[in-house]
Amino acid sequence: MQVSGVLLRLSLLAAAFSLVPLAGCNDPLRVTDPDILTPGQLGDPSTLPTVRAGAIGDFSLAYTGDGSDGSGGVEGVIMYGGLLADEWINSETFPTRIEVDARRTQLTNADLDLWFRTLSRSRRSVENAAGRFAQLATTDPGYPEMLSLSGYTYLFFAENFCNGVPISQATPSGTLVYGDPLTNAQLLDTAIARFDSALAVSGDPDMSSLASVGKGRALVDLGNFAAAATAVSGVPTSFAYFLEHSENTDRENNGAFKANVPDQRYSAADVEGVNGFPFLSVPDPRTPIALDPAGTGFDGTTPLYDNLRYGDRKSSITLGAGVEARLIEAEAALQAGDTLAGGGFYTALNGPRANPADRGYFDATTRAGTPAIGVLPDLTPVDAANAGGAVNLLFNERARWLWLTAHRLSDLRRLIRQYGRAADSVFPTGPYFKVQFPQYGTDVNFPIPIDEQNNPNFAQCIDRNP
Amino acid sequence: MNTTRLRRLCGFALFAAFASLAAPLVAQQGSVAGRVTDKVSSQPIQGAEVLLSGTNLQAITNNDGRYRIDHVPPGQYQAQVRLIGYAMGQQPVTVAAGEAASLDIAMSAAAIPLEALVVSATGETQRVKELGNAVANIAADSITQKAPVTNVADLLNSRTPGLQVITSGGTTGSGTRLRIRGASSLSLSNEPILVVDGIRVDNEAQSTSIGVGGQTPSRLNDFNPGDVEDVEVVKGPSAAALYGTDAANGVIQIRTKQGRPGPTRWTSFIEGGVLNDVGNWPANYRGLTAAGGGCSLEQQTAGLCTVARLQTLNPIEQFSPFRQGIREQYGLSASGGSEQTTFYTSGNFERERGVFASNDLRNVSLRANLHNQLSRLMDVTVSTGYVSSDLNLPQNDNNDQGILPSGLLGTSDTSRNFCAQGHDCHGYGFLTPQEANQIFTGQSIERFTGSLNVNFRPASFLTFRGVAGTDVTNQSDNETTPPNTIPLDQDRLDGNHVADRIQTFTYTGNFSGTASYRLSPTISASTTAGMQYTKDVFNEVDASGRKLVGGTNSLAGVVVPTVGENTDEFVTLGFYGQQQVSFNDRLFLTAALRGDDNSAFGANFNFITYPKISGSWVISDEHFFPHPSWLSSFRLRAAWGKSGRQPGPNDALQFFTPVAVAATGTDVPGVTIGSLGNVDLRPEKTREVEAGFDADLLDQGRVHFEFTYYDKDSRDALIARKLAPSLGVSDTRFQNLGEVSNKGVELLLTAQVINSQNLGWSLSASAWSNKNRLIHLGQGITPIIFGLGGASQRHEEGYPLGGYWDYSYTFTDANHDGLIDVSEITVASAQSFQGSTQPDHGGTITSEFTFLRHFRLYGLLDARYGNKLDNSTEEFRCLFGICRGNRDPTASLAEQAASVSTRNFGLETGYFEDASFVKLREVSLTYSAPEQWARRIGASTLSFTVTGRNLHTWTKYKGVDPELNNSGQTNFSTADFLTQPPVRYFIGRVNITF
Repeated sequence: MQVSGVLLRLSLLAAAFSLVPLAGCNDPLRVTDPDILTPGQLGDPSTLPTVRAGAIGDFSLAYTGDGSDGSGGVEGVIMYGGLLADEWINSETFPTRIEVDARRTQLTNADLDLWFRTLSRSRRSVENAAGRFAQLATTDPGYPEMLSLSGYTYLFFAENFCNGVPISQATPSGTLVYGDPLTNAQLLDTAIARFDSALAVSGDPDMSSLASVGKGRALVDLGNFAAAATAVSGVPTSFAYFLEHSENTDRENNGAFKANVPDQRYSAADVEGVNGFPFLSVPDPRTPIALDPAGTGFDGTTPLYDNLRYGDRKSSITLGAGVEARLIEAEAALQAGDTLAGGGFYTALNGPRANPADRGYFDATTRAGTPAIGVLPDLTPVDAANAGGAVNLLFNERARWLWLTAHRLSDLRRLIRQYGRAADSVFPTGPYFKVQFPQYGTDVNFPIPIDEQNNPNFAQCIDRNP
Repeated sequence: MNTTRLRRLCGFALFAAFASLAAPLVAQQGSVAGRVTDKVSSQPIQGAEVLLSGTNLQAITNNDGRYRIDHVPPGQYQAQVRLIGYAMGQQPVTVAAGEAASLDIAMSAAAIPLEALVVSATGETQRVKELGNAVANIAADSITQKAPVTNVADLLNSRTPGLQVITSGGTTGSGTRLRIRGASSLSLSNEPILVVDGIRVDNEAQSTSIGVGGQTPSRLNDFNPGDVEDVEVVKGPSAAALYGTDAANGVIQIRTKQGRPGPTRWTSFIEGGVLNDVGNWPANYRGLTAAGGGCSLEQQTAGLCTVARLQTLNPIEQFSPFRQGIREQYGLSASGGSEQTTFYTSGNFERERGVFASNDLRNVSLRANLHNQLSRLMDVTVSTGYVSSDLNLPQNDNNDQGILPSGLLGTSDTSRNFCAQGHDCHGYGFLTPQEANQIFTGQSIERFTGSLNVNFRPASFLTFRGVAGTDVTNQSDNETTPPNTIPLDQDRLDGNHVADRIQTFTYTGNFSGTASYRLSPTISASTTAGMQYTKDVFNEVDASGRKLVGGTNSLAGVVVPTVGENTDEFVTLGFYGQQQVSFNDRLFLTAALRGDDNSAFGANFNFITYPKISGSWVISDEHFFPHPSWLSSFRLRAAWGKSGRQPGPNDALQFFTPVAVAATGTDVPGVTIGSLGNVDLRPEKTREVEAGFDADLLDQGRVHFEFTYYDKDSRDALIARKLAPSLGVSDTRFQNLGEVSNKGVELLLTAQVINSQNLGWSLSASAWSNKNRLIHLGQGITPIIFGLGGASQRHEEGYPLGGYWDYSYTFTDANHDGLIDVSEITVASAQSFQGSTQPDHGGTITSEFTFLRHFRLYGLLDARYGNKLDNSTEEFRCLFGICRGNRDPTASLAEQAASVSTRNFGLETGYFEDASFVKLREVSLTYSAPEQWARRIGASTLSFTVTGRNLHTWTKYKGVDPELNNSGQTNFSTADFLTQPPVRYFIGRVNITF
């Protein structure tokens, strides 16, 4: 064989094989992933409903959780806030939730980390959605809605966490902008700014009411009671903004129901740790509770009490409601000394009690045999005296009406911060009921999880003050 | 160039290439024929390749060792004989026109002689002495004859220094982690790539979509070890550079058996045996006061009560959940063929029933390999394998449905129905074993692996190789929780079913050409150029539903269904070139370069190159080298090279994922953040330098010694950097950060100590060390914290990857009451390194005796040192208040302190225990029956083997076994948490050849 012939064949063969990857004559490295959407695919105005729905889904997940059960799932403000306070007790074996219930949450608590991430993610999601509406549809009710939900995320950070929550941002190009630790007051100021922005652009009464209730709540947290009452004065008692749930996917489940009833990880609390509120032992139709047919929770020893307000996975949960507006007005009256019979304090408290049609949204959902709340008798100064004072009466009413709606931890903190109570007189205290800890700890809020130390501007909580 | 023109060019080039194959070739003038035999036994050697150096003329020996090469032009030639496992034989031969020259050649077998042959990354067969790297070749066929192995992981375990097979437990069908020269990547898989008959195949180490607590199967074990001829372990980038992106963790190259010319040879075996749990399980404790009330040591030290007596119950020992497992296996293979065409075909059935009633493996594997010498210029090999398996896994590990978790975290009192619902649970805490065994979790696999290897030698100096193939796996994962059987919570009482369908495709296309030539009488060279295309596709459809209709185990029977889908694709396109030069056949220099592009690289990064340089010098062949009688040969070698690891398919992308959202009274589509992405993402790059020597000592190289030092350094390490939660984006983002170092030595000694007709003793000993360190994590990056419970392990600068970290503590019985209370423990102010999760040195010894002509006794001893294991099982038992340290006043102060420290300070420190061990992994005895026995049943050979595996462990570890991991094959997370330990096997096997 001649060498030239060999070389010719060599050339041809090499050429042929080197073209194999190009056989399709397309980019051989091009791959597709049909499971995801890139930012460019969400740039069209027609995608706004999808963006809005996604933001609501993220917010709802952070608010309610989806029924964390030890091996999966996400906690929500309603769950962890209520567990640290006195709405839930732990009825299982998983150490992260036991820490929270025992008021001894560690920085390394993995569920705390996931919850903080989820809440931060919901903040980013609703802020991004608000930005999209601002660009593409400023008159759409979704715009003030997203602004209000944004305000609520700041509110939840302030009400649940220590002083020192940072707010960081990632730009569209992926650049990371780290935030400095912010005090609870700074976070509440931001929340109020968001609610004000919502009010400014809202042409929808319901969206205005949502922003007003959120603003009033933030002002109460700041101790600005008169301004809070002003903010909510236009909100009808019948107003309610719901976060809806579904049986369709785990993420859409009502996490309060799922973690409590099917998963048996949380039990509805009653007089937890000496100071806990008597949600069960002093019966009230606003806090319907019953012993679960299984008897005990997942740990096999802790009695499992079911909340009957959320009767299934698809039960909706209120975020802001007209009753809360009245309670804010009552507190403003209390602060103003208007607590005589027939005065502003009792008028505000008794309005919702007398008119079931206005607050049907607090009636129990779907669980058979759970009656509607019905008409409640008017409160009088005698009731205040029996409760140990008007402050106690107000907070009792808040505990009942706003049960399992992410208010209780903030209320306990406010009792310390704004009403001078000792932490040991309002939070669960004394011997802890599980073997893991002999005594309740001293937490009155949540620490920032250790992963936040990846933020170079953050070291730890500024303080753990209430 | 438009696509039409490009397609025409493609077509023309392909046509021209194939047309060239049909061209007329050279004239025929003479022949060479002879016989190839074993130098020691004089037995014929089948399947050896005989070629005339400097030509493309070759033949393969038949079952009688005979060969014939026709069409040989007259002249003088150097005949070479090659067969992997033997030293290459060389002899001159002269061929005259029209005559048949006779040439018989004797070959020497040795463990790893320098003349032995291995297959390089380019597909060439090379002599060991030509390579600058240490070469590890595992003679699979030889091992499976000595001691039956249960899977490929067993075949690899403890066979070569530098390759660690890390067992995670004893569940039948569960997988293993493979680490070659330590872990280099913080966030990506550290598994080596797997190559079977020249093509990449799925090497997923934890291949399941449904968790059972921790244990998962590895796709490595789909392959039938009985079909494996040998395994070559390419240990690091200095050797693996030409394998390109993804080869930084090394390469496991499996060659399956090929037929040899000769009459059809039938080989069959029957194997049966038993497996048993041999764990030493702890009891559940409860302290009781004199009045019968409960009392813990903490309560006693607080003055609340006094432990007067103990109540203990050991549910696992007293109400055993175990059964005796059974193993059976049957195999039949046939091989043979002519000098032009050979075949190997086999069928294998394996069944192993594990020690839990819910653990069962059935596996059928079929293989058909065909080799055809199309012409004297071209040969083709087709290799096909098919596997069908069904695996049922038990619930265990970090799992409230687990059998062992229920026993280990149960109670000390059978009268307490802690596991609920009014029946005696025998101290099992969550579920009784009978309840847990009703959960069905299964995986069915249908896998096809096929490759086509073509060798084309158009000229004496020129060889082209083409390899194309695919590995396709259809995986069906299913789980059924029958309604009203699992009384843990309402969801499980309602029942549920999961049906996930997964398909993985791996495509490989390789093409290379090698030109070999002489630059002078003493200098020869070869030049190789080639390309490689690989594509991985992963398609998964998940479906599940709850509220299952009783009696059904299908999605058709669920009330609330959920579906999901996941698709991933990777493509790598690489080009490489290699230049080798040899001087006097004793100094060999190699330089190579590979360049890759990959679909997973970031948009701002396009191409990466991996260079390699190596040298090998058989210095003992030099005239100046002293030639003591005890030294047969001595070689120095050194190599330097780079390789990489690609990021995940979407790691560079910023994207959102779709979700369903409940809104406006219905479910509507929404999106949520998926990943922040990183447009600058590029591959992780690992550089390795290794150096060492090989020495053959005493007569005929009866003692062979190897020493290798390596230094491996990974830069631009791909780290899933934890993002501050306040950013509100994904948990992590892949970034090229940091640097990881692995340094170590590997020693290997093989010796034929006694070699007489009636007694033989061969010994192999190896030792290794590996110092793994995270050198640098990246500017401003805090340590990466993870592990069981979320914080027990860390990647921290200056320490081994994934080490255990926690607060140290000291204790003293200050009041001398024999009890430790919380005030007697002093906790350090900062967390500190508590130990490595991986051994940093170890060794193996294998010994083989042959005696009385017919008997062979083989044993394997494996030792690993330098690591700790988180005995989280005991920690949790203390948190549950049922461990001895929490209840028994006679428990050691250390036990008490560990319990008090975890219960009061949340510390795991007291449970990071020394997990060094020495294990007697295998002992087997084989009797090769006299030929007349075989003839009586019409066979040619007959042998019987009895094997024991996992026979004894020497360790200080206090848990049930130091080789456990509740996380299965995860990258770094390592803990003993309610895991089934390795079981003990006794297996008998009969081998018959017809």
